[in-house]
Amino acid sequence: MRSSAVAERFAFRVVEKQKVSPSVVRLALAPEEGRAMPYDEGQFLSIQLPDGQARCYSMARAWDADGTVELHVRIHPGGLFSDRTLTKLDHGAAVAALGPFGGCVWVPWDGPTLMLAVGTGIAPLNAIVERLARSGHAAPVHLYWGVRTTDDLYLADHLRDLAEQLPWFHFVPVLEQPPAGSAYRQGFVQDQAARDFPSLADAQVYACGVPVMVEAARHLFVGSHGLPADRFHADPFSPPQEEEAATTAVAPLTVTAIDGDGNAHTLAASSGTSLLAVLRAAHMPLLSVCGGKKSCGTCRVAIAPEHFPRLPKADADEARLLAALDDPADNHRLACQVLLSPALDGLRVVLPREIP
Amino acid sequence: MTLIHPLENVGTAFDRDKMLEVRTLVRQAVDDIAANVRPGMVEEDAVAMARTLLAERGMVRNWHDVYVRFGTNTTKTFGAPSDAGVVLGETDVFFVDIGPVWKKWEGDAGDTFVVGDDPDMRRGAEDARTIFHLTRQEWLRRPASGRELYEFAARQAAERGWKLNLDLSGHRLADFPHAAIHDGPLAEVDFHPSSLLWVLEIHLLHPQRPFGTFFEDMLLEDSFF
Repeated sequence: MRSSAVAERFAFRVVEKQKVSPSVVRLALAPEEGRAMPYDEGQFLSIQLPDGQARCYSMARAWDADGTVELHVRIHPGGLFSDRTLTKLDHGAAVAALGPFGGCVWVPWDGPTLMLAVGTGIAPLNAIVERLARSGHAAPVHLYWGVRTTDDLYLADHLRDLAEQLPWFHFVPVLEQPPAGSAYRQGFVQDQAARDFPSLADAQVYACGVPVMVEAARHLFVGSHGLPADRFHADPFSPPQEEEAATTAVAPLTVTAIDGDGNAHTLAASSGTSLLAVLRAAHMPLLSVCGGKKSCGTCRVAIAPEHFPRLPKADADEARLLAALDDPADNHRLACQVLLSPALDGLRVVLPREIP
Repeated sequence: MTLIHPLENVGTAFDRDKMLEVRTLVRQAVDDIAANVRPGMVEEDAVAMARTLLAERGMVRNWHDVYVRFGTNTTKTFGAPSDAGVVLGETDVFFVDIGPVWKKWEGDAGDTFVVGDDPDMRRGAEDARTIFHLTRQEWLRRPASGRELYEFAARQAAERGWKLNLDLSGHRLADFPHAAIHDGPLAEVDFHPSSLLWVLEIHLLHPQRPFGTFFEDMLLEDSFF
């Protein structure tokens, strides 16, 4: 590990600002007074804005001894950093940052590695690939990058060059709207990767970008493609610049809810939404006192036993809460923590008989 | 016969002594969580620590999420996600806001803590407590409604140079879950709230600087403080 355990404050100066696509600006920051921020590829920093707010961005290049960091900043209307501050930054402008943060870094692995990115989620994965390229890595790495149109493929030339130079590296762009007649893959990055890799038992996976994609990929790969849960790497933070890419991970599916009287309700749903949201939207009798924060336990449901293995395991907080509730059972889950994905199409859940 | 306002109903497990017992537990937990917080800590680690501490004391279940807010995140209103990766500085402010369920009863407590010697932050933490008690005294002094109490609190905040965040403006508490009875704010209640059934929240925002302070406790008579 290059980074220290404790994040520190660092001073940078803007040395390059370049609009690389209609919606992304590349920002290069050089350390002040030669005091560089050591980081591991895959980590992020928190830019401290003059008004006291903070925004997180991943380092987009492999660590360099001169300490320059590159960030990919999505421009979107109303975005705190992109609109109010970024547009005022120019060459030589001072920037304060805390960092580095995040544990979504390279874990040495001899088997295949799948990397999934949406939008500017490509930044930390590019950093990891560049680092592997320098370190004599040899095992296969397959990088899938989901964007809307060819205009958004701002890093594609660089990644194609790497793929030509490195026999183990494979780059697959996935477009929401590919040009007519083109050979581009179309759809959701996680579905395209899943199509290519029916079994991921010997693989590890990195997913970076919009949280809805990250969770859909986790459910799909761990639930249906044999990926051990501890080999799915993603950071929990959701960079604000990626919110608008949320629609790239949505697919239609159905859920069947059995109410307290035994009546079955078949509900339309979308991948990337929580089971709780689907049940509440259909006015199913289920409370959510804490608002989906896996804190109160009121949205507990029973998953049909034959469907339960399709779900990823509950995390430690959810498991602790489920165990503390009355009458716990092995097939109980919190509806707020079940994120729907194509792998959960047709899921059947039983609602509680009594509402508190 | 005393008429009970429908918004002041309670569940079948309601027990006055148990509500007070939970209050003691959660107020102690707030202080103990704060005692474990150190400059240099990342907010996410403090939240995990708080969850573990509460679980060890039989409070795994929380009717609202566990909040430990550092620095600029103290300006966030209830339920709003914190900015990621905020580290507590050597001169900084943080608050703890927890709403555990102990057995069948709900608790709720919050307080602000200052590290270093920033006079604004120290004054803010103290003013949140002061305005809480002044508002509570107003509640004891006259049959003011919840709405009138928050108008009073807002004036007190303004007189001291703060903005009162009315998105965090009090709520019911009961045997779990009070949300099944009434989930709305005390600041929109047009009757005089009863003792032991409501939480008074005071969230102050600095007019220029990016920090806030917070204090909350149950509406209770002087003998409980």
